[in-house]
Amino acid sequence: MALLKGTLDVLVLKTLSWGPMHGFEITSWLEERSGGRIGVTDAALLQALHRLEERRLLSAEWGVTRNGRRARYYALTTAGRAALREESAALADDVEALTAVLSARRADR
Amino acid sequence: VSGASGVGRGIRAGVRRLFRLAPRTRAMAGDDADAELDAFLDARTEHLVARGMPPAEARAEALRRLGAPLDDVRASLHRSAARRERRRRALEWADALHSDGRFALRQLARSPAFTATAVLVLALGIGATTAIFSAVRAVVLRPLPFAQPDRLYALWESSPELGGTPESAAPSNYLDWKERVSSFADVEAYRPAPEQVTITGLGEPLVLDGVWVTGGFFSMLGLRPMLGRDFSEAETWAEATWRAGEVPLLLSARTWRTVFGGEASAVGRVVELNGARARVVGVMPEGFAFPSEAVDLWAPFGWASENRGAAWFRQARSIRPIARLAAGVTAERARAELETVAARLGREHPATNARMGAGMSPLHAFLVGDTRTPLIILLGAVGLMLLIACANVGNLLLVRTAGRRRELAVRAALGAGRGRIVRQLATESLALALLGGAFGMALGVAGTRLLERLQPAGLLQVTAFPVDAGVVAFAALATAAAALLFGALPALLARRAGAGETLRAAGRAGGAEPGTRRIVGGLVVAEVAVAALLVLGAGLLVRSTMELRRVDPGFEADRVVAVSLNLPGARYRVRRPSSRSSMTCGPGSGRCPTWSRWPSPRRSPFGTGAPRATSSSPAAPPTRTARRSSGAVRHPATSRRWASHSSPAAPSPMPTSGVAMAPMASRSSTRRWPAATSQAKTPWGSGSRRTVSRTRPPSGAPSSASSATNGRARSRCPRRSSSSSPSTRRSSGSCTSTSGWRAVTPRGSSPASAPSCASSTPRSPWSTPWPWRPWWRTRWPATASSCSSSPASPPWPSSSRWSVCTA
Repeated sequence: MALLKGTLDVLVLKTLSWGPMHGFEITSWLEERSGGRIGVTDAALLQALHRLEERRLLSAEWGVTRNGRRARYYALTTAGRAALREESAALADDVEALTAVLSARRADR
Repeated sequence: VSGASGVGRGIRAGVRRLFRLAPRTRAMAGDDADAELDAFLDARTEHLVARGMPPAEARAEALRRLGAPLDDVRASLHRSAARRERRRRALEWADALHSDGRFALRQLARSPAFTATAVLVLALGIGATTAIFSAVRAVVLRPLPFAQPDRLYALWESSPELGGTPESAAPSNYLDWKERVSSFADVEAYRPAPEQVTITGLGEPLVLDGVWVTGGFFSMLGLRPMLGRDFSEAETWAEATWRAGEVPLLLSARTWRTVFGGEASAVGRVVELNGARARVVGVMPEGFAFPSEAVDLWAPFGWASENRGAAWFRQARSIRPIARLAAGVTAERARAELETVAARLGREHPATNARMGAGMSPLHAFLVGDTRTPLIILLGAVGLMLLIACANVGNLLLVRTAGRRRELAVRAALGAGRGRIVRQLATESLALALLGGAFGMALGVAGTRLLERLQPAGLLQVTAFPVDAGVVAFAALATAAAALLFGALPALLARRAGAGETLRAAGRAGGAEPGTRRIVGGLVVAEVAVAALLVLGAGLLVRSTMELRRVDPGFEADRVVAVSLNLPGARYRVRRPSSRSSMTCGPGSGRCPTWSRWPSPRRSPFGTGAPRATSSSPAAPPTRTARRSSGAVRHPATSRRWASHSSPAAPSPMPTSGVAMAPMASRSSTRRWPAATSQAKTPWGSGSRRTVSRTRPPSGAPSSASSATNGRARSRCPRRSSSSSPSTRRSSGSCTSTSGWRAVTPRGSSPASAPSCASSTPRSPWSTPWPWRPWWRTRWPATASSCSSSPASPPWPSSSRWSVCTA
């Protein structure tokens, strides 16, 4: 499924609300949760992470994975948490509106 | 919450400083991004391999899932990482500034006395500098609002006999320059001194300041009227106005708004200007005023073309020509050509032009001229004041910093770099400077308004000193410079002292360290030196002013009131008395000398053209001052446009009778009173031409004749009519009315109504050795009536009358 513009950022923020993760963990989590229905290219995800860090919604630290590899771990900042709340509410609104439009039936007119 | 995150960021930044990790460079950010991408690819490959995919296939799948070629992804990640780092650095810097600023404000709030003193001192310094700068900017720095103002030059005549100073030009010479000097694209002229004109026909009579210009004056400056039309070249000459039967007028936008209600229908309105029919033909653009901001309207000269041949038309140095250089011509070439033409004119007209030279100066410099240097000096003086303020605040800060050594040492010991401490101190200085600057700006605006009100009218070309972006920028610059000046010292001092050393030194109680003491001492010395300089300058200025005030103007100014009256020439018979017998002032009570230029104490003692003395006898050669005075010869020529329309006629004495005066305007105040309009109207035309024709000096003796018209003109002593100004009605005092170069008599008044001047023995005030003293002595009989007078020639509008009343 192609993502609506701007939804990737919210998804990433939501994913990280469970705790600090590195890039691959985030994409795995997204795939798992959506039952494989949300496909994000890895390049887009990494760009999104940089973008969110630039906006100070995420903070990043180098850490070590369970397999003993170095990885950049991202965590939500306070501002990120607030942004998640706002943007997920806005997104839910949008989806509701879309659903209302798309589920309109002829009899309703 | 945000505070907590701020603290968190602060701690992280601190930790990075601690381990020397910060700040990451662009290359480091790129490496970071590469490492992250590789780790990501590895993680996915491992994940796939763990699911049983062959390693090579897993790697290919990982690259495919990237969504784009590896190199492209790498490049775009580099870009985004670099942007992120840039942004992060800026934010960190802003954070530090924010916390430093807050800390600085807390520190300042902790010692309100220090802060108040420093801010006040700074505000005074910055405010004074800003106020003066606004004046300098308005007067000196603002370019003239004309097209290509640097191509405009003021032309002048000069003569070694007159001291070689730039003089106004005579109309004929101006016209010759205009025709003969090919280096000038155009030459136009105006009369530098605004003339008070009476406008009637709009309800209340109004006294406005009018300026005569040549027809092409505005088009040469590159200006077009906002409404209506410009003057035409032909309107320089009287013929055009004769044909039209009315004088064209251009209004200033202010006059248009205030007098004509800002209505477009004002263009085309017919009014009476000094009793002559005039028509408003246009309105100049908003904000345009020339030569001064007081000007209300412009009218073309309206010279009679037959004047061209008259000798006095070459001598009436009363107009100021402005030339626009032709394209591609240098100022040097134009000047050389102008001088050549002037020399040729000297040969052609030896009687008038033999010793007259011509010159030109850039218009802006010429207009600003006298006021430039004092203003710059004043700016320098307030600049020094700002320096003193900086030194004072620097001193205060230095002492304060010395008192905070322990705190600074603790900071240094806890790991604050010297740069960090310097930045903190600099932030404090900056906060102080900003506070001072803000208050200073407010003071500056107030000071600017005060300057506008205090400046003597006519001293500067402009009356408003706008506080615009330039002035604000200057104030900001002054603030920054001040912050740098007084903030640098404590910061440097803090930098010099090492942490341990300072801590050890701070352990000992009291006493500033020798370095600080030396700097403080040096500052005090510099401050006292600069202050002494300023005090000396101010003292000299005050002394000069006191000396000037002590100069005896030659008359007793106490309890004397001067009243200016405008008597429209068109309504009065104008004559030049030919014998002293007509000067009897009242029935046998004495003589009534007349004048219309106030002997100005401001100008006269310095001989810059003010004392308009005339020779004692019309036959005698005019004195130097008489010839030099533009007044003597100026008036018949140009200042009276109606006079210039005249045709030569033999002066014949008019039956003299009383003169009705109406209060019009006060010389000392700008208040305007309605003019009396009770006199019979005479349409501008043949009648007025006839009357004014007598103002023409007899041919053959232009100079002396004009001096005669000037200095020896006598009127009957004015009737103290009921319409006279309040001051002239004072019964206890005596009044003298004087008119300029002519006597004015309203038609139809009866000789019987002529009043007599109250007799009193005049104080003989003419004791100062002014150039015109001999004239005075010969003219002033010991038993003169109270009609006091000055022999000075008429300087301001010849239609002005002056009443002098001694209470």
